[in-house]
This record gives sequence, C-alpha cells and structure tokens, in this order.
Amino acid sequence: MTAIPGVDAPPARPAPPSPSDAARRRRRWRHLPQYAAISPFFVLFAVFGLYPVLYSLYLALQRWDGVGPKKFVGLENFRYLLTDGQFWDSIGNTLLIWVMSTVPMTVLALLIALGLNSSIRFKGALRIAYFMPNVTSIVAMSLVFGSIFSGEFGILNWFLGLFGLGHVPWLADPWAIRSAIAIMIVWRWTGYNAIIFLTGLQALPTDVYEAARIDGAGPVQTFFRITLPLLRPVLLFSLVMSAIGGLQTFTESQVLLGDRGGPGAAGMTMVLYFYGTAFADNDFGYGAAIAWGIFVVVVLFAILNWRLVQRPDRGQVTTEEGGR
Amino acid sequence: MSTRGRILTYAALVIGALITLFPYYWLSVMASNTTADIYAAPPKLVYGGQLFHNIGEVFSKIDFFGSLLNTMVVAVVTTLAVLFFDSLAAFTFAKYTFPGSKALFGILLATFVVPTQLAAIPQFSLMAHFGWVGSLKALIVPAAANAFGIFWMRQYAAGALPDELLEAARIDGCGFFRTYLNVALPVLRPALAFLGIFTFVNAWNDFLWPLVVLIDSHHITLQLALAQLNGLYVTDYSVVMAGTLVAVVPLVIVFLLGARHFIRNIASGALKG
Amino acid sequence: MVSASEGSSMTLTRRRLLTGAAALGTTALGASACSSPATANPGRLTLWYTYNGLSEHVLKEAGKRFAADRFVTSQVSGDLTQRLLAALAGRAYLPDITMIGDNISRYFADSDRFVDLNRLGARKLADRYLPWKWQAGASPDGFQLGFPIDVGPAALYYRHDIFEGAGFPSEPDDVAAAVPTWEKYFAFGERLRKKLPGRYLITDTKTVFTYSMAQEPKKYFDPHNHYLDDQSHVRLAWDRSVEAFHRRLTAGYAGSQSVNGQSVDRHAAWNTGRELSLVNASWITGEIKQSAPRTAGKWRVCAPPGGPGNQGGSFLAITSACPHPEAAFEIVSWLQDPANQTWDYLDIGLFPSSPAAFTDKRLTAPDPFFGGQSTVEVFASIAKRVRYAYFSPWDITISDTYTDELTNVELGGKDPERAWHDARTRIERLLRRQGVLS
Repeated sequence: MTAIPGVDAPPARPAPPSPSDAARRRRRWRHLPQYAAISPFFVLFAVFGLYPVLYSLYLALQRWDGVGPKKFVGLENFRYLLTDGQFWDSIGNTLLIWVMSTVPMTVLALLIALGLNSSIRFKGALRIAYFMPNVTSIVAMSLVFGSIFSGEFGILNWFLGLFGLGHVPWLADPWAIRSAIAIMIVWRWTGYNAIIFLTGLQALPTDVYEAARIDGAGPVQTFFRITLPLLRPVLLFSLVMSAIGGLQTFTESQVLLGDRGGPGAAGMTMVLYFYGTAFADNDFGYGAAIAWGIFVVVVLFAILNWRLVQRPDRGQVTTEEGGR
Repeated sequence: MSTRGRILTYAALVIGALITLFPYYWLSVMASNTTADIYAAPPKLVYGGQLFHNIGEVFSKIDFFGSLLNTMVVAVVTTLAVLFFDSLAAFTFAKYTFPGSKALFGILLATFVVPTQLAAIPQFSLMAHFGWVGSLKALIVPAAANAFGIFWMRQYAAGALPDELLEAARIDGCGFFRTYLNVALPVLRPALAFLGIFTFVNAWNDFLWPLVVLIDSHHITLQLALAQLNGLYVTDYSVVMAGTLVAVVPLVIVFLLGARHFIRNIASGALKG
Repeated sequence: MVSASEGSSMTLTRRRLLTGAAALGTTALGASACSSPATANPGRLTLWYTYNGLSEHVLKEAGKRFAADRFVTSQVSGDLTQRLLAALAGRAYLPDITMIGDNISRYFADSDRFVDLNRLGARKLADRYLPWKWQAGASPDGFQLGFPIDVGPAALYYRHDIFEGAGFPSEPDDVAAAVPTWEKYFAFGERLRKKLPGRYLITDTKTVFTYSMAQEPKKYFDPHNHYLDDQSHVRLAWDRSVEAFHRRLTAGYAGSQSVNGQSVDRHAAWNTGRELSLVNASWITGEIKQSAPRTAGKWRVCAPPGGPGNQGGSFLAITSACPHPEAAFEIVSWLQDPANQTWDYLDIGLFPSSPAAFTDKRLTAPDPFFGGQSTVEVFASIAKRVRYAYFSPWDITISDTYTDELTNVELGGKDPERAWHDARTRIERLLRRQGVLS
C-alpha cells in the first residue's frame, strides 16, 4: 500500500536531474502497473479478510457475550478447546463426512465422465442435467432433502419400503445422519467433478491408447494402467477442491439437523460447532478460539495435500499438466 | 464399443441423470400440493393443483420481485467486478515478474486457508463503521476480487497466452493495460465464461453473510426473503416449497441459457494449458 | 496501433482503478469520513419483529395511527437474536423498538443498552398483564426491559376420536381428571397402547423433560445468577423422561428437527394418527391446524399432567439508541393493549398475556378444529395458574444439553446414568468457562 501515494504521479517522466537517477526512477516506477493490477485483491483481503481474522484472534483471548464488556481470559479458551470433546468429535465428524462423500463422488464422477466420453447421443443434455445441482442453492435444496430423508413420511424410506428394504432412520441414527449429509454433498458435486474429469479425458493423447490397443490391453487394463495415471493431476485438483469444501461443511448439516447437529451430534461439523457456539450460544470469545482451531486443522490438511501433490516430477495441482 | 455396451452405458447415464434431477421434480410436486398432502402417507408423487395458489401466497408474504432485483444487482455487479479484477491480476501474475511477485502469489495462495467466513462479527462492525450495513455494497465490495479466481485464471493464462503474442504486442507499442485489454482478454474468454457463471451462482446463493449484514426487510436478497417464510411458531411447508421453487427457477434458467457455452468452455479449455 | 486518444483513455481507466483502491485503503485505516447512524432509520421509529411475530393487521393500524412519529416496521429474516446482537455489538443500525424472545435475561447484564420501561410509566400498566409474565420482563434489580407480548401456557392436546373409539375417557374434563400427574399419564398411555399398538402418547423424551421443567417454580439459577445447589427437580424431570422411554411410550421424533425446531416426522404422525396426544404450549395449535387439516374436529385440549407451565413467549423492548423513548412507549403499549393482543391471537395464534383479552367473545368462541371446544378457556385457566420462574441466560443451552443426552438415550441406546453424568459434566465445564461457576 506504500505505492498508493504515488498514484497521481503522472506517467510521463519529469526532466531528470541526472541520467543515472532517472534510470533508477524509471526502474522504480516501471512495475507500477503490475502492482496496481494485483492490488485490488490484496487491499480487499486486508480489509475484509485479514483484519477480521486478526480481530478474531484478539477475541479468542476474551470472554464476550457480544454486547457487554469483554473480559481478558488469556489462553483459557484455547486450553478449554484442547480438552473439549465436542470439538474433537466435530473434527471426526467432518473428516468422516468428507471421506464418505468424496470416495463415492469421485468414483461416480469418473464413471459418468467415462460414459460421457464414449460416443453417445444427447451428451449435451446429460452434462447439463448432471451439472445442475451445482448451481442450485444449498439452503433451498437442503429443505427438499429434509423431506426426502424424513423417517416417517420421507420419499426415500417409502421407496426403500417398496423393495422391502425397511425403514432407515435417516435423521436419527448417527451413521444414517452422516450418510444423509454425504449423499447431499455427492448429489451436489458429482456432476461438477464429472465435467472436470471429462475435460481431462478429452485432453488425453490418443496415441497412447492406440499403442495400448496394439499391445492387446483390455479396456479395464487400459483404464487402470493408462487413463488413471494420466488423469492424476485432474484427480488431485478435484481432491484438493473437495477438501477445501469438505472441511467447511456446514449448510447441509444446519438446515437438515439444526444448530446442535442432530441426535448424538453426529452431524456436528467443525464449522457448525463454531456457528452454534458463537451465534446460538453467543459465546464469541470461545467461538473465535474454535475458528482458530479449525484454521489449524485446515492448515494441517493443506500441508498433507501439498505433500501429496508435490511429486518428484514437479506435477503440480496446476491443471495445465492435464493437457500436455 | 459394442452396441450392447453402448446401450448399457446410455441406460446407466440416463438413470443417473434422472436420480440427479429427482429432487427438482420432488420440489415442484411439494410446491404444487397442500401442506397436508405433503405429510400424507403414502406420499403424493404427482402434481397437485395448488401451485399457483402457493406461489400467490409466497408473493403476498414476501417482496419477491424486490428481492429478486436486489439479488440480480448483487450477482451481476459482483460478477463483473470479479471478472475484471481477477483476470487483470491473473494476467499479471501469469506473465510478469517483478520484485515480490512470487511472494505475493504465495500470499494469495495462503489466503485459501484463512477462515474468512468465520469472522462475521468483526466484519459487521467494519461494515457499520463504513456505513454500509443494510446496503448492497456490503455484499458486493468484499466479494469484488477473490483468490480462487485469480489462482485458477492464472493457471489458465499461463498456458493460453504464449509469450510471443505479448512480445508482438509490446513491439506494436502496447502498454501493459492495452496488452491486457486487446491481447489477454480475448484469449481468456473461455476462462472468463466459467469464472463468470461460477461467481454469479455463488453470489446468487450466498446466505450467511447477507443474513448478518442486510438488516432492513425492504433491501434483502432472495435467499433472505425465503428465510422469512419460516415463521416464529408456524411454518407452512407447501408455501416454503413454492418459495424455494420460485427462487431456484431463475437461476436454473440463467444456467440453461448459458450452460452449453459454460460447459463447452470448461470442456474445451478450462483445464488445458 | 496506439493512438493518443486511446492512450489517454487507458490512463483514465488506470487512474480510476487506483483511486478506487486508494479510497479503500484509507477507509481501512479508519480515516473514513462517514459515520454510521445509531438507528436503522434515522428520523423514524423502527420496529423489528419476526415473521408471524406480531399481527400484520395491528401493525398496519399502528402505521396509520403513529404516522406522525414516522413509525416503520421491519420484518427480520433469520434469527432475531443474532441480528440484534450484531447491531448491539456494532452499535449501529439498531431498531428503536425490538421484539425479544423468552431469552430476555441475556440482555439484563447489558440493560444500559435499553430503556427502563418503568421510567416511561410502564408500572401503571402492569396490572393489565399476567404478573409472572410481567416479572419475567424485568431484571432481578427491577429494570423493566421487556413489555409482554404473548405467553405459551402448556396443555394436553389429544385425539378425542381415537380415545373415544378405544373406550377411554375422551371429554376434556374426564381426560384431565384421568391424568393429573405424569405417573398417571404414563399408566394411561400403557393401557392405551395395549389397545392400539404402534401409536404414541408422547412425542419424545425431550418434550417430557422440557414440559416437566416448565412446571417447576425454579429452573437452574436463582435470580442473581447463582447456579442452584439443589437441582433435584432437574433429576426428577430427567428420571421421568427416561421412564417414559423405558415404558416404551415415546415415539422418538427428536431427531428430525428442522432449523426452526419443527419436526417433519411429527407432522406426518399427526396426519396418520400415530401421535395421539402431546403436551405442548399453546402456540403449537397453528402448526397442527396447518399440517394436519384433515384431522379437524378430532382434537381436544385439557389441563396437562403435572400442573400448569409456560413455554416460550416474547416481549417488546426499547433500545437506548431510540431518540424518542416516550413516543416509542406509546406505540409499544398500544400494540400490546388487550384489544390488539386479541388480534395477535386471532391472526397468528399468539396467546394473550393480558387476562382482559381472555374473555373477548371472538376468543372464547367455539373452535371447530377442536370439535367446538372453547380452547382459550382451557389455556387461560392454565396461564393464570403459572408461577414465576427465573429464566437465566444459560437456561436454553443447559436445557439443550440435557435433551441432547436424552435423545442419545432414546435413539442411540446410551446408558441413562452415563448420559446424565455426561450432561452434568458438560454443563459445569461450560459454566466454568463462562465464569459463572468458579
């Protein structure tokens, strides 16, 4: 932001006192357009992202109900957080739901992408159908899913009943609750990932397949030996994206089960626990401490991801690898 | 592929698509029935005759068109701002090195893990300080540029913009900005289309932040207007569903209009270099 | 390729961009010239309320009547407490008048942000309202923060037709006489279940606990926010809830709670006749009518087992940001005069907190949904017998912790003793963190 006072300096150079000075000056201002071009994001982030986050660090050291005076409590909130079973459970739930959604989502998306990549008709319409959930409001569709999963009158249980599959307490049993949330995430993101995978598939070089065919490799062999390894960068991109989203799972849980995560708090995710503590219980100091706990989990996860992505042969998440 | 294989693939894909679309069907069924029908057992699987009645209820209870307009303004302005700021920054990061450029891009990546949505209370105080509470500015300005868009578009620009092209522009006497406008932007169009829809959809569906910062019931977005249908003690489920339906439909239309372009663009270029 | 004019337009764009960024930068540093107004609509008197929180008819009338005060209403979307807290914390965009729920005690510690209604002459109006409700709006040191809107007297709702068909007492007085205590109610339920397997008299353990506690004259804290040493009454309510489950009387719908606390499964059970009765506050009437209209004429209400109790109910408060508290009080007291409370009940089912409204002909008229019974009389007699109980700022969290653990027992098969122990530990840990317990 130190560059900003120079904004009004005219681009035309004033008469230089000495040539070397002018050159230095030119060099100093030479990159001004570039700094200006990237500054909006950094300024906005500093004001609306960094400042509130730093402020929340200050809040984490206080006891505050949101209205009255704040009381400094030092690291008390963090000490409590470390021994807070509910917080640890919420980490577990978040990771479980992430795994329970990411695995089926990736498999399904791959299958759909493979199907769409084969020469069939109405490809365009199918792609649109699969992609549609991704553009629909989660809040709105969570309401719809609430009625689909309802134990008593839910359409899903009615449907299962037609096949004599009994009565799943979708919103009462801990594992059923997590499955229900995972199903909603799968519904929302499978199409998106299928399109991403499809793009990756279409970019694969055909000569490799030709060679495999000549070598007499079957379709299954080809898939596991050639397609999957070549798709690795795209798969990793999808994994990273799903991790970023999955660690912040919130809306599905909240709309389906309320602020307390349902029976056994099985649907209590990290962000929902934060939200409930800060906004339902008005415990803003501890809420801020939870937010920082979440931050640490996300950073650890990011490092893990980074390790996964940083292979010896410089394969980055940069998806540009997919096409080469 | 054999004919049988093709038919099986096709059948599987169609069934998958039908399952994917089922919640929309179910939503419209619930929106067209009475609340009592919704709770009936066995469930009513077909359209009832109440759709227009329920939608009428929605319109009488919430300011649908006003909130629709607000949502449109927020989504369109945010999208335009994001497209401009993100593509400009992405172009810069992709094609220029200057002191600190690497470090700044690193910082940008690091912001991914900063839990910004967890800071609603200080953000509210900030907005109050600016005098923006209750104003659509509070939604648009903080969202006017984002790290994801810059990161993603930089990856695209790095591959899609050959250095020779920029060199040619420089020789032609184009300055930095001119090069961005005349050379980079046209090449980035597929990526812009994708980021545009992505941003538009997110701005449209945003719920938590508008809930905190938009106070006056006369200046709210569609998602908030919907939340008003949940009463203190009584909620009319069929009306909530009708409201959900009318809130979902505009976006689906926007998506359908742009879908072919959008998906083709992801497919044709978004992930390629 | 580059002409002079193009060059200048380019500079302009760039300069505009940069000045924009600079402006943002300076505002970030706090050099902003704009200061935000203290109230949401300066020059007007703004009232915040929730959807179905006040009768639209009355609000419209108020708009005309108080046009000179420039009275405007604003319906808040989402949770009102959250919105109010955000505005209080930001000290900006505050309403002049606001609705507040039954968690009113959470604002007692910050009473400097509100106006003491006694200062505006509220005391003169106190005897128009139920004394326990009036007292609930006042802090223990006598600061009258809330003006009563509605109350939630709890009654026993039951299916007259099914009780009768099974040969059980079915007229309100007979049912009330048959189930004066929870113990008798459970025994009644067992007998009924033998005749009608697969049907339930109790929604879940949560409702037993909630309404047992609602009948107690003390809850978890004394009015000076000291955690009660003797909580045997809590244990009693807990044991009673577990007993209902062990005697297989509960349906266990606690799981499917939507955001606004409504259970879709329960709605379905009213339609199918699986839920034969429920102890609930009066405000559930609208929900039953709306989600099970085909059961019209088949319901009745009577005095609940265990005695009178109240659950829920709201207040109106005036914030200290309001520049004209006298005018605001005029509006508040008019909005909640007995005649307008009648409208609140007729329009949206808010049960009046003013006994003068109980005898209004429009309220005491027979209700066809309840087979022509005058339900208001039943609720009124319960409301008059409710005793004041201090509702602390932590009551909701504590109660939720107990009922969460009860749900674990009911749906997750958790050992009740362990559940009780876990609930106690969690509550005490929480209170210690918040500095309430040392």
